[in-house]
Amino acid sequence: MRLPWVRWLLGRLVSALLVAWVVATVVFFALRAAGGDPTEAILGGPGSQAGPDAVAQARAQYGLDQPLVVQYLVQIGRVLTLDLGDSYARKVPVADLLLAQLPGTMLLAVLALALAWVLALAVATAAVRARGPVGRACAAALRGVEVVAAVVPHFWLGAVLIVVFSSTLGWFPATSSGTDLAGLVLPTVTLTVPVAGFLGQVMRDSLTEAAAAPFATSARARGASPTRVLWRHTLRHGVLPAVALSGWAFGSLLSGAVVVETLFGRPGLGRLLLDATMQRDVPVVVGAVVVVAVVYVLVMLLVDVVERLLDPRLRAVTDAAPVPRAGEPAVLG
Amino acid sequence: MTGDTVLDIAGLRVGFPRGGEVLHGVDLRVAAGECVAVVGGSGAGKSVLARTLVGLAGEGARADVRADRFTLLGRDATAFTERAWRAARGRDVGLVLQDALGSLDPLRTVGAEVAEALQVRRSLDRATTADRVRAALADAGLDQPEVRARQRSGDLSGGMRQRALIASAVVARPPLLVADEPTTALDATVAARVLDLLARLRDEGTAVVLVTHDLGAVARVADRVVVLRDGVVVEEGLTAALLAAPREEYTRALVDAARLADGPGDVPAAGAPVLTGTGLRRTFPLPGGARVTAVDGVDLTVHAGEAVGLVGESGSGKTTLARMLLAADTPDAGQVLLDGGPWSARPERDRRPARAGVRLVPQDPLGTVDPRLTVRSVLHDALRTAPHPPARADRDAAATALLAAVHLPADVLDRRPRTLSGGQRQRVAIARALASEPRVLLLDEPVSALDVQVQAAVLDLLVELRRTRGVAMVLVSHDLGVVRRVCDRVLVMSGGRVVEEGPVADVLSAPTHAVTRALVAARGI
Repeated sequence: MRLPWVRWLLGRLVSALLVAWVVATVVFFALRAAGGDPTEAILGGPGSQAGPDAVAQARAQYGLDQPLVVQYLVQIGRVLTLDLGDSYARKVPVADLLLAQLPGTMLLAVLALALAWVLALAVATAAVRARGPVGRACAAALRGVEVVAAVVPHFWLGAVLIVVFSSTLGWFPATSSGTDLAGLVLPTVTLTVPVAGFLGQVMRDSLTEAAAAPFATSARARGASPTRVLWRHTLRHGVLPAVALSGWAFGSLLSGAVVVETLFGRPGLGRLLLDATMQRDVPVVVGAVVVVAVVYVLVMLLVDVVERLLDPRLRAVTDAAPVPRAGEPAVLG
Repeated sequence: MTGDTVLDIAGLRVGFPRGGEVLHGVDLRVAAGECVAVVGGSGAGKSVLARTLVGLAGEGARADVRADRFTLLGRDATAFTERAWRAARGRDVGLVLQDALGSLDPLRTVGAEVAEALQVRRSLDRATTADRVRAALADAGLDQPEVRARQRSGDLSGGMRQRALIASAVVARPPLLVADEPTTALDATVAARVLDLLARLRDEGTAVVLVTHDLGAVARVADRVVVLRDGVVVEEGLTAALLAAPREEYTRALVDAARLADGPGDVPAAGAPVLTGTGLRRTFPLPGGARVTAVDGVDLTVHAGEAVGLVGESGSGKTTLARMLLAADTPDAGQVLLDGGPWSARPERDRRPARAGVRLVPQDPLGTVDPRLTVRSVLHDALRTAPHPPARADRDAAATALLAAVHLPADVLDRRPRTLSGGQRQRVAIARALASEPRVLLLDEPVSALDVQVQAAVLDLLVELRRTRGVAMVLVSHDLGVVRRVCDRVLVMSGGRVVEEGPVADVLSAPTHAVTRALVAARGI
């Protein structure tokens, strides 16, 4: 029973490595195809008046005079050995840069996802339990709010929040540097709202469907209270699609972090990535993207594990020996 | 051996804000140890009545329930609050729904589902609850109750699932059990065993209300019958007397529809072989590497104009065999010939021109049409790919002619399949199959989802098509009555093999194989 799980996990980790390799390759060549000369980054950014000698020396030092294939192999080799090299522009190890910026961004994304789940759950359960004309009207209004929330762009929402809660009301600071809670509020809310709207829609739909399913009727017919039906039966069905989409949502939160960190002047992976791309700082870009990709793959893995915990039907696929089916096998579909 | 009155209803009216009144003054009395069947066609209000008996009529929509008298175990249920109903459900009255796969939570174990009615009372400790669950599952006729309790509904066969569902409804030993179409989704032999379980519960003193459109089920277990039509009780009486001599026209129609005619009557004689399968074998991989053999060395010949029935329990391989005849699936061994030439062995590209000759009528027509298409575009599509497609201007006339052939009015053309009744949909599916003037129709359980009256009418249509068009048929069914109505020959399948074969009348009158005998007994032929 344990072994198939281990095998499944190992398989997933190997595929995570594959994803990291593909991502590193694509980023490496895309950055080169976009034009621009990395030596500029090494010698102080675009516009630096470096002489030809200095350029040639820098090219030799960083191996940029080697054929592209060799440069690529060197870069991949570094990724594999987890030595991501030194930043062209900042002259410090990329790993140090990433380690310094990763926690802030992860904190932001995790907080935003958690808040989105709380909001989505609240809205979805309220919608299902809504009774009477007032309740139904409120549920309908919430549906509208969800749609609007799901399509609001980060930069607009962030700007509005800054104007209202920072400039006008002065409740929260518009900029945040570290992990201070007050400074985290506005960036987190900005990131949360679109995801919460989206997850809320998905959750409400599936929860409504589950509440109307025959097994919910059966549970009621056994004397189960609405609360019991929700917690023991329909909620699990209701959150499954949202769990499946949470991995994707987390990815979109990481990319949303680029906008939000810029908007709120927060240091983080997003800011680092933006700056490094502008400067053609190849090791930093490759390193950051690979790290983000690996994080994303790990989150997807976590989502798969949670889905399997919630839905036993999926476990049969991971177990080598199928549960013996009682009676005749349903081959005929 | 009936005892005290468990349920006593008079003048029950149930209405919905949208849809109006569904039940218009229904009377129903059930005593302990008695089984009362509520029968009627679709839309008679049977399911609403069943749900009202457990106080769940207002699920989803606000229902307006009024009754002159509604007593449950001597208490006045018209005065029940939601809390009182909740206490009564599971303890005083249990409900069994039709679709056991959907009615047991697929994410929870069978044991957890059965235990629920006990847990909501919070009166028993864990060990006692587990004992009661095991006992209930064993009582419901499930082998290895400890194992079953740990499995989920998806791991059980249809019959076991229905038994587990019944166990979950009676585990708290309610004096009243309401079963809403408990056997409709099951094949005949499994359904018979589930009905026997209901009969045993009745004999042990439970009052049973059996809601069904299946008069065979009624004859098997019910003591009394209440006939419901458009929300009104039109006739009521002891089962044997009522079925033997129905007073009302409506009841008579129900009884006649259930008693399908014996044989197709006068049909054209069979001609040359059209479809020939020899040594057909098909296996499917199971997760984990093993393979299961669905069809195992079957020989079958379908002659022009002949109707062959394929019967068997679910999982016996009849649908797989039909799919191979259609060349929708390729046999692992053996081959299918069409008009003496290769059929299953030919590449699909060569097969396509000949496909017009062999057409499928599926069990669920809704699943095989785009729900956004109108019947007109469904038929036009079928006509366009026919071997002799009518000109664009004539397509409407051709489509109307097809509808006429299946006895549907021309105004169905502009409807969408979802807005049609089950019987109308099946007729559209037959019309679509007829568009290419096929010589063989493969019908996969064409009437099993329909209620008796509609079933009888669709079968009449099939016999008429045999007579007027001389089309050969392969009819897959688990119901020998259906096969007897339409077919000349029958093949009984079990475990992927043909265990008995011959003219329908011979096989039915002198079944030699145990499976055939069980099917014959289940149908009550």
